[in-house]
Amino acid sequence: MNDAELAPARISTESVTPGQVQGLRWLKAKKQAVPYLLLVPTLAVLLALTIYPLFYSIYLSLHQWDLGSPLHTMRWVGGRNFVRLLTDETFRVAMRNTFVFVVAAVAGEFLLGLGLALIAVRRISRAEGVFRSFILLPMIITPIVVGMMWRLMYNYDLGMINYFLSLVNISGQSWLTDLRLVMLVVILTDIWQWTPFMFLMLLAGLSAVPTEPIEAARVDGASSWQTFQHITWPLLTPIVLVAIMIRSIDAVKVFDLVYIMTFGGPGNATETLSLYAYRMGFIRSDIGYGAAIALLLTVIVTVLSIIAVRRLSRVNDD
Amino acid sequence: MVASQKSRNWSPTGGRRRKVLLSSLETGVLVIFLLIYLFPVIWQVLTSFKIQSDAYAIPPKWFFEPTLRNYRVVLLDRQMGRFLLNSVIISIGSSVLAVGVGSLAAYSLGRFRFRGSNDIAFWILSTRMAPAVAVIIPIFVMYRYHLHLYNTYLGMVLLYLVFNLPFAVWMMRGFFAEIPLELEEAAFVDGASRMQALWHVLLPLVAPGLAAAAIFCTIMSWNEFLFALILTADKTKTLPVAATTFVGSMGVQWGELCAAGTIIMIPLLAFALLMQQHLVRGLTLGAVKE
Repeated sequence: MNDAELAPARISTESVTPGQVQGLRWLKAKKQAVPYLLLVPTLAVLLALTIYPLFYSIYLSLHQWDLGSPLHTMRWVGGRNFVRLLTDETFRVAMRNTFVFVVAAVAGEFLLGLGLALIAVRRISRAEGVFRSFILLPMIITPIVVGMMWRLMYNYDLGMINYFLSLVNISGQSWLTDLRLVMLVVILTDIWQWTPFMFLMLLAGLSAVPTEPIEAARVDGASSWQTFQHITWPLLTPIVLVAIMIRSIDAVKVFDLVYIMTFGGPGNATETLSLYAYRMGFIRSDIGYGAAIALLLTVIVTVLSIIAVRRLSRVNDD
Repeated sequence: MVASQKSRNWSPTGGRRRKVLLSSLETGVLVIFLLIYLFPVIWQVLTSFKIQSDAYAIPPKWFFEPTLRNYRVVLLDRQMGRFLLNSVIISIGSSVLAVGVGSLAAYSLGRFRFRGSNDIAFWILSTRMAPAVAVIIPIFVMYRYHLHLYNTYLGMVLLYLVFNLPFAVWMMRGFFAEIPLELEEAAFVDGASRMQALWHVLLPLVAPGLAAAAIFCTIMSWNEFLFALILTADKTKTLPVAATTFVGSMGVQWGELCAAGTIIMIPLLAFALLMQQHLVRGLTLGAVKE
């Protein structure tokens, strides 16, 4: 990173009066304040839109308030909302569902992305322009639209999944209404959407692996697998960590997909934490409880982020 | 030396790597792979041009007489035209604001070395980690009862700064940092003030970066759902929220739904084709030096 020194003040080399010294000090202080001043608008906006709401959220979680009633009916309940979480069966289900979703989706995206990247890197050092445009699409299409198009694909009667299965004589499944299958459907959709992300990250990582150690290893008689295991993989680890961490943190917050494909159903089979917080806060109108759930989700995300940053700085220091 | 610079005889797995030029066979495989992977997208576009009976046909119809009926219904009867306008206003508005405000911070963080600059930069990025649902609950109360910004363009444009601003700052910081010091110093030697140097020297150089950040913010705003779901109503409803109204209690109108989905997708498709280089760079977060 280039560092810009502060531009030197223009002073004459003749004798300087005390008044000028004062003026100079003021000028220097002003110059030193510049970087901080430039930050003020951004920090002010973020404080107002993120930090303040988070504190207000804590305040709300300690109260009970019905969304439809006027504001003054809000009443203090202390930690009652959080205690309620401890015995809330649906909350536990949401936790479990979210965990399963994150692990399965990220693992799937990683493995698939890695496989594709390994294949691609042998042919193209990095994905070429047009190919990249198309492979980007699942990532940048609106998640709601992704959910809708896959909802059509998994439709029992009209869906193409069942149609293609029927072509090979496998009977169609009720993907979105079968308790055992519906979570799989949501996970697969997320994998479809985000594997390109993993693919591009890992492809970039693989492309940056230097050739000398690999050539040396080959000359010494190492197999492909051994080369990968001992040379490529250690060099790839930082990228892998970054990609997995980013995806995991985003996956914990999943909302749009679940909202449009299943709305948590059938029953609670695909209820995730974000959706549960939303349902409690805005559908059941129990704002305090919704805020409590959302706060817990924030804690989880924050913990994950801190772990990620720690791991990353340690890896980068090596 | 890096693999991309040297002769690419060895792939990272240790296997022999063929010449980089794609043979027509490999191109064919690539195309087929893309067609399969993007099939749901293709199917949605196809279905959007089907008449009702074709859309609901079992087994599904591959060849049919296309119609624009769904688009007509969606854009006019269902007022998607209005919601499209809303999405455009809010996305571009918030994106421009984020880049405008954020570029100052990016300039500061990218070109000055001062105590805490790294910490501040990291803190700014970390605010993006906050789950949307945690932010929306207090903001809903604030907007609805105290600030009266519910269902307003201004409210949405400001709210979207929550994720647009940190992202814009973080992305543009890199662009500002890349410019060599000498260029600015040359300007100072020529007698320019800091502001003049910024305007005449730096800005033209970081302009591509600013544009890329703006496009990213536009895409993120365009796709945003939860905030819009809760804080927009008839006047300011955005496309993603409007699309969900096709999923009614009386079943789904697939033809129209697909038309709505395709309309939402088209600007994104254009962005992907035109900006793929920037998009990949931003999406991979510059984590790997290219």
